[in-house]
Amino acid sequence: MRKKNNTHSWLNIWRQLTNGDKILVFLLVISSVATLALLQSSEGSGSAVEIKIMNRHFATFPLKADTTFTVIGAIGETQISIAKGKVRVLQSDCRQKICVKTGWISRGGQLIVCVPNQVVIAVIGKKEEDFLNVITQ
Amino acid sequence: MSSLNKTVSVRRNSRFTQIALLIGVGLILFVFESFIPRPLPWVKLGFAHIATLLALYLLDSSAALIVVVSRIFLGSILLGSFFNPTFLLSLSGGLCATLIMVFAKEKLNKVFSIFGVSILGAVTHNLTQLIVANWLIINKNEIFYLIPLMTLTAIITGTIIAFISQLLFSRFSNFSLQNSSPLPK
Repeated sequence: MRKKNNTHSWLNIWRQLTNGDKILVFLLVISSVATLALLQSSEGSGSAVEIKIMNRHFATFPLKADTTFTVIGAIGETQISIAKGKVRVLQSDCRQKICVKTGWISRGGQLIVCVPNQVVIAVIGKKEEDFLNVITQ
Repeated sequence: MSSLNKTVSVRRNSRFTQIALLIGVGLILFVFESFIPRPLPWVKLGFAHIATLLALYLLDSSAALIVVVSRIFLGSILLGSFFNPTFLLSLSGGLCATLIMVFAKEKLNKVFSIFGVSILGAVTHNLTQLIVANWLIINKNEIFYLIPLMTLTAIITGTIIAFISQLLFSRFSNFSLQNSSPLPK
């Protein structure tokens, strides 16, 4: 521990940061913001919904389809709804309901993932290939 | 001679007890945090890493690793996710984050304060979990779309966790008995 007897307040954090800390935070913020900007410009609104269950491709739906259906995953059922060009999980048998709380997704590259039930719902964008190129480069 | 041996064994026991205490602290925070609803699915404060930071700074690197691994094993048994994908995610994330934090604290001591170490740990935790999640379950590279957002949140959560840990250091100032004087030989 470097300093022991300082008064603890949020303002003091800045004084305790070493130059290394500041450079680290600066680099992380710059690279994240730059990547975000790059991704925003390359992605469009989605055109289709791809559903994977337990690592296998299950089905692909067009985003225009208005439908609600139930799939069986690793631990139970997941109810998925597609409406007005958006998709969400209505109900799931998992404990934390993270997939339900994710809410509606509609843009290319967005994902809903249910880890316990091993269900992955991905919106495929119109510019999917451009998007993937950005990622892999 | 016998009193010397006694001192050694008291010190050894005290280290044992301290590690056990920190595992307990981490475990409680880990289970407690699982009950807090998350604002976004991929945002988590990582309270359990307060115990890791305490072990790393009050004791040593091996204590930090023991605390993390035991906490994740016991925590997953308590939450009923033992050897689930969730368990593998926490184990890989926790282990890699701790290894990076140990490295940053031991080798880059002059470069990073506890804040830098904690932020590095948080970022590593996120990256490892994304890679393992993609490999185990998701298999769609679009998940890496989350990296910049997760990195930005990791900077904030890492700072909060470092701040809380530092508040605790002053309360724990006589905790690390074993480092106050060298062991008698």
